[in-house]
Amino acid sequence: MSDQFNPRNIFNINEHGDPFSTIDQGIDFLQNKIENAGVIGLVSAQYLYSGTTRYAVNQITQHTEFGEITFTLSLNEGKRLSRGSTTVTTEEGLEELFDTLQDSLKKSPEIDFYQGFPESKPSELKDLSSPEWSIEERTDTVIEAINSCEEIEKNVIVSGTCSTSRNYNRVVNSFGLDVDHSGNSNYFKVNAIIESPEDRNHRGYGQEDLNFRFEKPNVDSLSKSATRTARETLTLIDLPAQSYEVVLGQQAVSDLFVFAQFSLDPTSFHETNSFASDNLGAQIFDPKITVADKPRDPQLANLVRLFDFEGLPSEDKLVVDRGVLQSIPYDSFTAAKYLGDKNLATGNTLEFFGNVVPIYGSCVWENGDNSTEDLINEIDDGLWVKNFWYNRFTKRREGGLTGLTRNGLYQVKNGEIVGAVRNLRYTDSFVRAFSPGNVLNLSSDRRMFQLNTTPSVHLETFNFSSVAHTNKIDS
Amino acid sequence: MTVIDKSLLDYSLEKASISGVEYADVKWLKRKSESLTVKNNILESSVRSNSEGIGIKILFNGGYGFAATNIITKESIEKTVERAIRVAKASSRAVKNPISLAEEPTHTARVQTYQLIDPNKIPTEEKIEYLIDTTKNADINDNRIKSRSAYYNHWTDHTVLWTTEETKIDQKIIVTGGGVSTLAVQGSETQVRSKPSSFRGDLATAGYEFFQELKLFESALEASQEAVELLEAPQCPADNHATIIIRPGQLMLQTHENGHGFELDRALDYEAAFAGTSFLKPHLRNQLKFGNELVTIHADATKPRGLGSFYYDHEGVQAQKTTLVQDGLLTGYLTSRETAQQIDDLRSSGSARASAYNRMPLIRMTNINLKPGDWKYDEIIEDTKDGYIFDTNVSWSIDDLRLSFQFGTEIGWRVKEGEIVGLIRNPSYTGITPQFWNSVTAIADETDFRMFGTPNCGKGEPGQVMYTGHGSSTTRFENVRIGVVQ
Repeated sequence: MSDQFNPRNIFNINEHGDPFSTIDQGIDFLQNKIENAGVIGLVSAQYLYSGTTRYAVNQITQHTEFGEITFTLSLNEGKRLSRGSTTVTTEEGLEELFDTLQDSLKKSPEIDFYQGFPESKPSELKDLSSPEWSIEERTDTVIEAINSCEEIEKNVIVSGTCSTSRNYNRVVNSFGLDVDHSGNSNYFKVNAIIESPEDRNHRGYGQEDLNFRFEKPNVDSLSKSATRTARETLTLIDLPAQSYEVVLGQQAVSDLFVFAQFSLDPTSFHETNSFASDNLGAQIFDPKITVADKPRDPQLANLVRLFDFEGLPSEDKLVVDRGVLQSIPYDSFTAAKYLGDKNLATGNTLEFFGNVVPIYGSCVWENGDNSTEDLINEIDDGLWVKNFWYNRFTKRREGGLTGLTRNGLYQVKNGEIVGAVRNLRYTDSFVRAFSPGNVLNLSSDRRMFQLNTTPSVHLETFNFSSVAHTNKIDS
Repeated sequence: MTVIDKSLLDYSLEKASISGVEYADVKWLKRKSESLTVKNNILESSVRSNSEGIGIKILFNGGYGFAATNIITKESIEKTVERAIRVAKASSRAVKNPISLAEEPTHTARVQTYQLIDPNKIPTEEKIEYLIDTTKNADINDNRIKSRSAYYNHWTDHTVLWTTEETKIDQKIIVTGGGVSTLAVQGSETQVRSKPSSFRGDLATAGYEFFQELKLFESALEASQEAVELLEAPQCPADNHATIIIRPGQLMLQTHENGHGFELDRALDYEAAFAGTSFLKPHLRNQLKFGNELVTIHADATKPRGLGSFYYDHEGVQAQKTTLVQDGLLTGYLTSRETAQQIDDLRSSGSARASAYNRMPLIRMTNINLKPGDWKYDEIIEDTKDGYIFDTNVSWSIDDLRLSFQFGTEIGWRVKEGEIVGLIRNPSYTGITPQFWNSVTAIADETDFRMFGTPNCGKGEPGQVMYTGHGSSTTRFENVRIGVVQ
């Protein structure tokens, strides 16, 4: 973390490629075009190096590596704006992008509220990186995971993913902004399936996964845990769909809360189509819940960056303080539109699934005092849910969701795990689930996921609406 | 129309071949896209994107390796080939059942989506003006309407695929479409109404003529009126044994989500750790009654205009029409060259596609189409004593085996004694896939058949977003649970 930190140094050129001369030349080229055309420009250049090792049916099935440089250009003239991107890094490719956007800019009508790009703010560099995870190391990890699962159950079907990515960003604009940063993340997942020897249509499923940065995961422990879950879920207890006292495991909490993060977008907020609409400053969640967005904390957050897509510095920000909703993120466009001031942009703009949106993408929950195991021991008569799957909004305004349990649902009585339960579909609201009084406890242990880091949470009630699926397929 | 230097493709395959690989292919893919969004008469987003690069797939000692770059120089490609071989060699250390590929004839072809009007020849300002006019036409002077949006989307995927088996394909797929959507809010009640379908509208493999046919300007007013009317409409009741009539605007996502179950990589557990598996296990082929005798489902990559239509997949296999369900019986799968021979199919169904140059092909749906029945649409309504019509998807969720689903739709109508008697809001239904498709009692005929595009189908790691198509006619189901509430 020295003042001399160079974001480019996290790349091993032999291993990850050397994108920097292409990036620098491309930015110079576009800046010249912008200056000569007499318009205002914002250029973002990104290099992404990605390696993914997927395994299934106990062997590597897909193994990919790529490096990609992307230039994103925004042009502004008065109240007009156009934006585009290209991975064609030659002068011809960049010229085509510039000419297309300049033409589009001229032909676009004015946006009456638009105020241009935000003013830059000073910030310090910081090393957000961690050691690399090579092709061969990922392969070794896969072999270890498969062997560990097979130690528990010879006939287990093992799948999963080992992936690593490194990214570098440089953002410049016509007002002298010139910032760069880099970071990386790693991901490990193991999935175990055990088929019933009596009925091949009946199977048990288990899965463990986590994002990590500094400490490599205990592959052996996670693999064996997934296999034990698969074995336990071979014998299922049928329970009716109804409201239960539950402990939501870290993954399950993450799965629900990410929808709260999506709902904090300023457009939904101001169009009164979000749970947050009319609730800023309100005690909407239980006082035990405090969540901060920590994009500069590589120890706690998966998605870390020093600057956002517009080149504004990121900063820690309270999202929920003891249950009270504190803030929502803005980019300069929505800040101008809804707040009348582009400089109220919060530095949270990301390119996400192809859209440029402001989002709190590094939410870290404060933890509680007791372990997840202690929380399970607190259950009088209820369920332990390890994760959810295929969650979707049913009513955005109320935070209504539906989804299913997938890899680990257990009945708990008097603090003891009775056994695995047939998967259930829930239909409930994350606002109601985490509402004041319904949250009984948080765990001390947390796990890092793609967009948040969460503890397990003990809830007084959570509503399940149907039994998820059956083996009695009519045929 | 090829703009990649062919000597680089030759060089890639030569470089791979001298390394003793069993198979190699090189795929150049360039995507050009244009996206326009107008909200409340203001152009809020005008985005152009170009993406171009080369991906190299290697089969070595029974293991796959894939590497990609967007620096298209001889030096960069040489390094990328070396990386793909290194990856394949690492894979081969963890291979128990070596990959072998189903036979496919060698193809040499240059093909392109048919288009009447090239979208790139329509001035941008004309498109913008049309979208602005559309949102103006959605203005019904009601302060409960919080937003009126109109969308235009167009992209072209130009792919050149060469393989060590001498296949050389040059293919251009053209996609065009758009939509209009309004949001109405009253207290805690929110209603969205979209035309012709939700999530930025409909798309097809076609030119600008398809966007014109959508008639967004004409349908904008109705979208706003229906959104406001839905605020006041009665809530969809809870009923465990309802009769529901599903229009193609919702049935498209039902067939999409159930269609995933026919992907053979899922059925063979290749996707167990992410997308999930499938209850349609290969040993159930020609045995499982997926639906009743009214239900026949095809995967048809040859259907003109379908968003899942193409000429060759990204393994160089020619597009086909495959029967997945014949008169209710599970008969087929979506397959790749790697998976087809695992269920003793002699040939891949041609379903392996990649979303970009830097992604490895996966089994993806093409156009999953429900065969039309014999009923006229009006006859289905007239024949329904007590039921509901659901249309336009708004919410969807299904389990990892593709068995237990729950959907919400934007709009519903009550049917009593053969007549539509009014709107209902927040329609939802839930069920178990084979039970649901075994409860079909009527399918409308070809005159009601409509295809919709699903442009955002996610699968794979690293993530791939693929475009697929789904055609159906209005279909009636019995004994369905509706009105699931919190």
